[in-house]
Amino acid sequence: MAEAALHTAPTLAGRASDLLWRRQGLLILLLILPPALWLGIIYLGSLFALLAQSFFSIDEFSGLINYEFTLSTYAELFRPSNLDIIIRTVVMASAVTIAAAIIGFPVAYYAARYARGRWKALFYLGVMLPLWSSYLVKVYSWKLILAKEGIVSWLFETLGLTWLLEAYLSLPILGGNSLSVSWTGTFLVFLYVWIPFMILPIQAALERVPVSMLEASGDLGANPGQTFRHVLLPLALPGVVAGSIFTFSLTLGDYIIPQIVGTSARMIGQAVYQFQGTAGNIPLAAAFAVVPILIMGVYLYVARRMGAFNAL
Amino acid sequence: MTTAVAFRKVSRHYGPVRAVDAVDLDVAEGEFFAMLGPSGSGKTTCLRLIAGFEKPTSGQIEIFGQPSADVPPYRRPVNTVFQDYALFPHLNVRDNVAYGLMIAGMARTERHRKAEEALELVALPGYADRKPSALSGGQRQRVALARALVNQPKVLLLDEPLGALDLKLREAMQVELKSLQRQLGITFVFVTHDQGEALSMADRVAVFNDGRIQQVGTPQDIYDRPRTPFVADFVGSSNVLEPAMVQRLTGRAVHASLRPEAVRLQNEGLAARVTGQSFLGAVTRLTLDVDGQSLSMMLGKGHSIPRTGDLVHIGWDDDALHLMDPSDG
Repeated sequence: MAEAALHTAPTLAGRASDLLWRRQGLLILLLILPPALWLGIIYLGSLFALLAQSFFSIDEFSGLINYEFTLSTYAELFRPSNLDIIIRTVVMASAVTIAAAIIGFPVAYYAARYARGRWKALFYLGVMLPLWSSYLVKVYSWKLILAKEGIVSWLFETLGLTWLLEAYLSLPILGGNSLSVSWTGTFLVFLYVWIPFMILPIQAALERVPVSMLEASGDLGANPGQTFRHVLLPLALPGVVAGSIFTFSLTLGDYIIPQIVGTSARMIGQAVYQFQGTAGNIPLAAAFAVVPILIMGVYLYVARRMGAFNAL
Repeated sequence: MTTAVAFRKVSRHYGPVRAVDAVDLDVAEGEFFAMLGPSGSGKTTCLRLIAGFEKPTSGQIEIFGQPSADVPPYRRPVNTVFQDYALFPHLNVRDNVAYGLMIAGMARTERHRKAEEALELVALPGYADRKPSALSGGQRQRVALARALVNQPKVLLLDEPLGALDLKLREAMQVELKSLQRQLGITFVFVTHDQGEALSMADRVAVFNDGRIQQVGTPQDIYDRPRTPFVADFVGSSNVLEPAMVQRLTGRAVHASLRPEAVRLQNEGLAARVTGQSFLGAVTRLTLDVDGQSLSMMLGKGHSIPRTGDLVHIGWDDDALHLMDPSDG
């Protein structure tokens, strides 16, 4: 009797959980199936559709898509005006990434090494808080901050440094009529909006570096600068690379920030937006959209070859 | 004899916690010196003070006569073998060992040659191309040792380096470390909580408790003539007799230590009740109760073993009882 009781699954739920316990592969399959379908069909599917589009071309006169394999759309990317867009975007994304790493590293280091208890909570709050408000609200606020009558101009005026701002704005490329219509403005807003994505992975990487590792380096004669170069940076590099993947790819693809803050010259995101929308040139939009993917692929490959993931 | 490391009234306080409290200490050059104590007794903090990872709250540490207060760790002539070994995971064994030489600016081929030599010294040749993650605990320990020794430090600091190894390996490494120290003539300062390790390896031992040094002396001194009940209890599991009992036996109301192996069963003498036995192989340990004082003794093979509850008579040679005079403490 007792043995029989041991084998009875009284309810349907009980039976189901018994089955999952006996067949653990089934459980894993059930857990993985929905996200796998989502990623496989919605994400990868649309990515391949995009890739396919980029190998078609548009008929210049009728504006109809010619569904035949051609590389002519890709060749169009190398027209000077299009190449400018790509170079401009890559330079901007690199500048934002480098600046975010330089500013983010000390913040992440402080949080990982020294912040405890309440300070740590404050750190997370400070880093995450900007992510909680709407992206558009932030960008428009920055437009006001950087505008000709904005708080930055006012600050320079109050400090009697208007001449300095004027001198900066008169610089070619970097300057403009006001900060809000300059590349500097675009850069600052990108930096502000994406920097949490740089700080958090670096902080996570630094958390995993034991203090004894840094002490050992000092013990073996390395001054703090040498310890940073030979131990801390290599061990934090996976975090820096992870962060830079975010800041770099987010900047590469964004089309709203350069629309609102900055000059009228376009970046890749804007080009994609216009080619697929107003211009109706889906193949060229697709070809443009492939550019960031290729750049990120090359970037990850180079990072791996340089040993960025060796400490993982 | 030159003093390698000297502590002069050194204290390290963390808020109200006195991790190290007014410690005076001299470690002679070429000595194998052990700092022994339970966890939290201040021995590791003392080691970190020598390395420069901690600064004394008060007092002064001299390394070969040089006051070290303003000398950062990277300028001290000492190297450390860390408890967790702290090998750099992104470098292979060769570059780990050559790290100090690389920092010192030695050319690549030269420092790699020295690293290979150091690896041979610790009996680990042929492992230079591996990453630390591909090594066993004992091998990592040897790499950590080679990495410190290759810099030819004046003092080598070892922070419980054998703690993570299994018993067999630990015993083998004890012998090796000792002979390595003899061979190189470098001053070793060795932190451990294992009294057997300290007594078997060290030339001299400092016993720590609650941030203070209880006793400094040779292993024989510490074992045979413990100066405080703490030392007697911590080192060699001696019996510590309470002052009341010592007064009855000798007329002096002080603590006394009595080694279990000095106690004998006799036909007459002090009456004791057997409260337990544990079989240890070559000997059996009896625990006894003498008027509320608990006592243990070792019984060799060939004796019949009394049972729990039996009444026995015990005795010992007069000089086996070591009185702990509080005035020397």
